[in-house]
Amino acid sequence: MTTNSPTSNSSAPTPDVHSTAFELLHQGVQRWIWKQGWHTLRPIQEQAVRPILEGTHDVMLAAPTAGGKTEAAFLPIVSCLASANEPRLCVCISPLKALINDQYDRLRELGVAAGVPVHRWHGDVRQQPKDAFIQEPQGLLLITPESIEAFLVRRGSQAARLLGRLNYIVVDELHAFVGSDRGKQLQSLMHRLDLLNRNRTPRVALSATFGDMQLAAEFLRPGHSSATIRIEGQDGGQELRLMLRGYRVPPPTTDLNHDETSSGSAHDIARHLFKVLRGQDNLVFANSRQRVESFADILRRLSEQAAVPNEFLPHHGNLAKALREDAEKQLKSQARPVTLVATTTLEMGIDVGSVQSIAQVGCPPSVSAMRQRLGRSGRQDNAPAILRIYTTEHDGLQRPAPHDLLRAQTTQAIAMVQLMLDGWLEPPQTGLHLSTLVQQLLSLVAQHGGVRAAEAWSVLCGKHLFMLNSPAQFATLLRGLGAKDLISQTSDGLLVLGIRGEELVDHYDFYAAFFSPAEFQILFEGTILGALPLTWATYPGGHLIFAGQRWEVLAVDDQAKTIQVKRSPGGQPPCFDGGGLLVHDEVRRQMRRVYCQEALPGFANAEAQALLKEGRRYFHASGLERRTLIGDSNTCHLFPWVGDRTMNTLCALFNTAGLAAMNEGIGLRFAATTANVKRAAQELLAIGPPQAESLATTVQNKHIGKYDHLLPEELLNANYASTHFDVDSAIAVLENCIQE
Amino acid sequence: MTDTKKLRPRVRDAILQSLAAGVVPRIGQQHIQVGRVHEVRALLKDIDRIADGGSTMRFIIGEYGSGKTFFLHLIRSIALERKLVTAHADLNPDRRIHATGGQAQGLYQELMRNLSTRSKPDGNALASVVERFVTTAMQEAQSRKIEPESVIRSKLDVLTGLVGGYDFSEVVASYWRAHDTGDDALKANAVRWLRAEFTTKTAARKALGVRTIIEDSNTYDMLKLFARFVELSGFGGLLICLDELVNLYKLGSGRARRTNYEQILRILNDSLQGGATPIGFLMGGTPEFLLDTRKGLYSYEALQTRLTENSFARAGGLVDFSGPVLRLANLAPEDLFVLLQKVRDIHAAGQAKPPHVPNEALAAFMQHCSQRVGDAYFKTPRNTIVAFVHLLSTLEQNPTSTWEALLNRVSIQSEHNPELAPLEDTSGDDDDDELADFKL
Repeated sequence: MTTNSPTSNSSAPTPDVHSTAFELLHQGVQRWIWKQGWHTLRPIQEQAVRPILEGTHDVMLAAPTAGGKTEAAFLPIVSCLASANEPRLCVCISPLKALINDQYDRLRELGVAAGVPVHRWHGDVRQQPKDAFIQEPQGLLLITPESIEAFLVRRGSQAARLLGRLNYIVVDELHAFVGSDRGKQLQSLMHRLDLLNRNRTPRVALSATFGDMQLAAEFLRPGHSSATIRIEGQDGGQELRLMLRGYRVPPPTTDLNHDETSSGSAHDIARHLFKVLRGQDNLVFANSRQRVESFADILRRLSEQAAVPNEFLPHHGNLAKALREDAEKQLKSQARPVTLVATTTLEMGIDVGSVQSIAQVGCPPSVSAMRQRLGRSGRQDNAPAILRIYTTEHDGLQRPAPHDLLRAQTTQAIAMVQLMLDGWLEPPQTGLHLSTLVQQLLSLVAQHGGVRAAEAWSVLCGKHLFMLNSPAQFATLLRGLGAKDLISQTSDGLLVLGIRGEELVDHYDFYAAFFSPAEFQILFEGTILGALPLTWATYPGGHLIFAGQRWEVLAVDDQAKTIQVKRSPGGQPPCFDGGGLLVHDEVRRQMRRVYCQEALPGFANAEAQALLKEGRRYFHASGLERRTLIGDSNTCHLFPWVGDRTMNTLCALFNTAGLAAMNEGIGLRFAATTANVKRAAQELLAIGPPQAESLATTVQNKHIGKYDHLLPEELLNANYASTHFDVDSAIAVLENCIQE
Repeated sequence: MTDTKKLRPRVRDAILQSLAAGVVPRIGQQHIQVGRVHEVRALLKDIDRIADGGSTMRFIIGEYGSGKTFFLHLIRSIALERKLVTAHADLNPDRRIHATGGQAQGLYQELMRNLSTRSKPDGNALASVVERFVTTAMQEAQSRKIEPESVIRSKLDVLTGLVGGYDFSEVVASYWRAHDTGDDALKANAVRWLRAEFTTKTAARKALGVRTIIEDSNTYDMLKLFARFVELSGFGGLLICLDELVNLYKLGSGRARRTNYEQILRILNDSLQGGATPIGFLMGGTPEFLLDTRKGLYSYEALQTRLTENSFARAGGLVDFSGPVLRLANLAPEDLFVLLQKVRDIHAAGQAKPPHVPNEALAAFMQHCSQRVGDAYFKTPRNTIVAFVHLLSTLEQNPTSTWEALLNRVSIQSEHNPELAPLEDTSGDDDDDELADFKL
């Protein structure tokens, strides 16, 4: 194989790459490959070209990040669009705006080489390029699911013209969608695009390697996954460097002037971050926006103290677009090192090749999220992927609870890392997703100006999309929505939007399937700094930390939803809602194994190992290796080592038996003796397994999804039960419990 | 009974094909008209008023399938006979009375595409209307022995004084110049402008030297201008039939609906106050479009007060056809019987050996439909007629079969949106049957 430099003036564009797949590609695409100076196509790219060009089957490309799967998909797709006789379109759906911006920069060159226009379309894109697409809807369209929703709702009558010439639907970062409300929305949107096109447009999915690829294929085309062609890329043999660092939180002080950001575990963690991360490009993940803000704040002050430029920038969905984009731009530019302190906004595959390491403060929300985050690091050739996890445990508490003594956070992090190293990932969450069904129903009505009940059922529930039991249940849903004036019916039976439905659909917030609470804009001297959700009390004279700075609140306008602030030396971090993921059964089972083992994990530092030893000591001392129920005369705890769904179910079950149980995450706490608990368990078993739906009636806060508050009670219960209860597993725990 | 013997084959086929497809025939409506004598009479007065140079507006209100569209087309054909120019369009999400995103322009374009005269009853009559303006002017010039240019200028002076009239008359003058010099490109541009097909002002300026185009913000003014222009061309006036106004009711945005209702109010005020433009509006809609106080016309207070029906007449069980709202009375079973007779006779016309469908068959057919779908079959005759035409053509093509044998196989189709139909055949699973007649 020759190694002509791309700039050498050879007579004709003779490609350096020789393969049958290469021969199939469009000339412009071949030229682009040649210009990249690539010597070979990667195996996954070789394999993907033919099936994608044929366009008869769905194709699923799974590879680790930086495995070349983006090119594997787009080389043949751009070839196909370039060779088509008439203007054709490929819609590429991405989970993140940042990812779209990134893809846009990478694909534009390829598009130019092959004469295929590349468009991006999301909330931050200006109107002018959007108008250009409206004029000539062809080429590649990089878009978020929310923008497609907006397309269908606001341009319903033109949708067939604009999106009706599809050759492909590409889903980027498929794993980011699987199992979530947003994923359900995506499935529904893909189906609605198919209906617009009156055919099954081939779907091409790009995904990280899944625990169970069959589940991902089933997600891509519900009910027809067997025909999907699966191509898995090889792992590049990337080196993994993992470290778990444990920290002790000192006992809480009664000193009101105590500022927890200037000392204590958070400060220690920040100091370590400051020490190891400076001078490189990194991503720091914290599980809540509040923690992002406070860490960015501490790190900024550390930089000031050390009299060095601040390299640490906060990045989360509540920051203003300009600040967010500026942070992203700084991270991508090679000019100076930057560390982003981020929540999940940056979670998905933004291809910032230069990130050296990842830091995770607190326990990762799930194993797959951790795998995702790890994927951000070491994307450049052969650089190792580096992940540092920081966990904290409370020390010196006057009356420590068992889960403090078990050092639960550290142990859970260890268990999760071990599972990840074993190649285990959580399977996607299943559920009814009725909140998303409500959204899709209203969207469908808005798109067509009105639909009939039977049509809506066949579109949304007929194709393995929303798993309602029966048309009767669907009718219940429709009547519930009718009673709330979200839909009404014309005399010929057409369902149209009601007044409240119109208000809902008319607001831009409607397009997102996931929940974003009402937000206040923060104004500093007339400049918008960003927005905060209104979940805690804000009042003039109060303080908050935002955009890594401390602010004093001057005025709050509830009507205009604005908060005026001025700079301030002291502050109390605002409490953001952290999106809670349910911990899987396997993680808790692994935790139990970790407690039972002797060996200390090599990836944990001395402090973390010491914490683990303390946890193990308590585990054995309280006899948890033999039993699940421990306690004294007036309180007892149940540690069944099961996931959150089962824990929820147990909690609800005991409450129906008249025994108040408090769910503390890994354990249930009872203000009763162990004998009482066993008696209650026996009673529950004697009654027999409960209906999950009827059990859900006892739960007070069931409004988890965005439109859950619109559901009739009956369906709300079914919906809640489908995601938050696992009756079989709970019964097994009870049976085990009474035999102790 | 209609004199079906003289029915021309083209008209007969057009009627039967339209009925079989569930749409209103464009020609020959008078052959299948039944009932509604008073309503027709009321609208004849409207037509006279337009021809007399006045404005009118009527809301034709009736249930789905009750024959609104048929009625509109019937009136339209009468208006054509009386030398009016007509234009008709169905509203839909892309064609609204008022809009800012090009949908009002879209409606105007559709109206101009469907512009009809007596000699061109199927639409596309715009060019011939303009042509007629020019030729009448030339004839006048000839008879008065003056320059055609000055006749045209003096005629167009009437328009110049009106809102937007200057550019309108400039465009017509351009057409005349093009006619005079044989400049076909300019001619085409002038017609394009009148059809509202220019989307940018710069393009219009380059092509015709005018600064405005027909766009969302001025469609109603342009229609009024066009009505005057039609009059200047020697026609009686302009009748505009807008159908499917329920699409305004279905608009997803309350704001958009309200601006459309405001525009309707403007038109209504012009007609109620005796505007001096020879223009008439017929608007077809369902009762909920009119009466719903949350989303219908009645949701707009000013419209409600103007459109409230004559309670005096209603309470007394009497009728008043002078108000702007004209309720289409439901067809009675007797009316439907007559209608079926007419359809049968039209079907039989021109056939050597028509199928044997006696009056007893019609009665049995109605009985059958009544059992299947209840009273709706005669109140909303559209689907009933579709089924009947299908029955007739089956009998025609299978001479051995009899109506008695086929009657039980007649089924009345419910309507559905083809864009939402499943991609693969799912006729096997019928679990959504119970949603077919879903009521909230």
